[in-house]
Amino acid sequence: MNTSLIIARKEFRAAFRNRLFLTITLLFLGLSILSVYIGSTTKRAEMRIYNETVASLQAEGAAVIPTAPEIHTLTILSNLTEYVAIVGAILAVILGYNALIEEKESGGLKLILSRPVYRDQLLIGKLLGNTAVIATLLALVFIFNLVLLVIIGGIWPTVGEAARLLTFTVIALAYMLIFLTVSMFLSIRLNNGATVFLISLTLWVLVSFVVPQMADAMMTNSSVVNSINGAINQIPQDTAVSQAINYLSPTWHLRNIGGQLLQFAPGSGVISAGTLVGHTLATLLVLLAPTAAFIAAGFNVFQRNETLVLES
Amino acid sequence: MTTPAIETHELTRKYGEKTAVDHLTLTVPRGEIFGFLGHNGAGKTTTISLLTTLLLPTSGSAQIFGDDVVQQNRAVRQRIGYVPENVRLYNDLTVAENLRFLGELSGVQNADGRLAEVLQLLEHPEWRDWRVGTFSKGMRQRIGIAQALLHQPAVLFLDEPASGLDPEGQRAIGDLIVRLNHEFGITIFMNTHQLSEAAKLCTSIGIMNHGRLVVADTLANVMRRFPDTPSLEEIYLQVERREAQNGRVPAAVGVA
Repeated sequence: MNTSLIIARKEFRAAFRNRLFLTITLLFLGLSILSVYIGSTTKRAEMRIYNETVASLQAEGAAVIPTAPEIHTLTILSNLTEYVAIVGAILAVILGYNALIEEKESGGLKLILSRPVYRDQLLIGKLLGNTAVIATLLALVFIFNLVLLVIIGGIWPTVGEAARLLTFTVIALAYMLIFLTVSMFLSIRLNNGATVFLISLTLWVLVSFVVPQMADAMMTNSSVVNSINGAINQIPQDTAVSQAINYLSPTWHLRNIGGQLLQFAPGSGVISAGTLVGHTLATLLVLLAPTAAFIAAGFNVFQRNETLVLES
Repeated sequence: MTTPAIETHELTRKYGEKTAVDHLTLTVPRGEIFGFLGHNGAGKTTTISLLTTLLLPTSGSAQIFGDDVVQQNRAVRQRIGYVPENVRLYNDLTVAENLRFLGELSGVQNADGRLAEVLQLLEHPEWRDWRVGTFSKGMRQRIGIAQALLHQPAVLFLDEPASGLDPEGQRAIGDLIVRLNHEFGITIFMNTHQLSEAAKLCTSIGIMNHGRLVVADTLANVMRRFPDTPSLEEIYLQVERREAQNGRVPAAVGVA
């Protein structure tokens, strides 16, 4: 078997035996149950209120009955975006950390590199194995959520909805790969595991929370007069600067496309299929770009990095 | 003339300004158990890293069974087995999974059959399906040696193999090293701090001091050169004291 594939298979096997990884995976799946339960309960409540209102209006002999609220099935899964953004990113950081720095610190890499294994084969194997781990995890989450929609939500998703969820899963994979490759790159570059973990998490906090908040701060408020009571509401509006800042955040991209694919973003129900495909592909490219950059930088450093085998 | 197992010529490795291995010229014939002695930071581990192709030399050369460690590193890697100090395998995997993985990386055909043979050699075939995470240090060290034997190497590099082990563990490792050498003809190159272990196991020794080889010969010859010194430990301490007093490195004794 190809050397990289041997390494990839070992990575895959070891990840699914790792207690921390399994705990976070179970957390991910557990949150999915909670999310679907809360989502479907909320939607049922909305429908119940609507039905009660209609019944009440009909009893009063009202001539105009309000139209039923537009409830998209996938909005039940809207929290999935946040779980990927938070739990998924941390999981990817842990995988990247385990892949290299732990072995580097323990001397395990020496065992591999004293064999007829080239450094690029090692890195490719690690990348392939951990990508397969993340893909498997997300596939589990995808199937699990579809099943939950039926069991808890009592809804059979359409083929189109399943395709949207699947597309979101692919986007989630691209998003998590960023943090995997960041963590792997730092593991190659640095010699201290705690530092790698800390910097990886700091980067995640920066791009997930700080950058979007900076973008929010650059938004302008536009005044809108409420047509019912005449009150003036302030509604934040994107500016060129806030949009430019948001573009730096992979998490913003994930949330943005997540809102469109899972149909919880305002106006997502009226986006045409062509526009959605275009947005999805653009997001995919934007998310894959940093991954490609970190992989290239990682290969470059890894080929020359002798600190892998130096005694601390 | 038979090609020696290990041969270095003016092998040097620098880390910035610091010279970790300084013009090391050494020959280890086939079939030896060579003990590489020296204080912490003497350059022993760096030497092993150079000989196992993990580090590139700054200058000089080294051959393993005639193959150059830089130019023919792949061939060298096929011939050597390496056991680092404090072997840390994959705790979440079983012994068989660890060994199969490392065996496959070494190109071992029928890895399952070979790992069974190696575990038999350790006299612990029952360890096969045990998780490595549950192992004591001594057991890990033995599995560390097992992983290095999978591809039937001609020379085995051991970095402090008995470090931190209890007397029973030390004896088990020592017995295994002797068996590997006697029964399978494997040349052993062993870094060690444990002079009693070296005196008991090794057929030849080298003493490193601040990157330079100051003594290298068969154990019997070394003992003859220091007739007033009863033990290897005393010889080692005498050499170290002399180095410290002179502040210079004397000519190497008996370097082949």
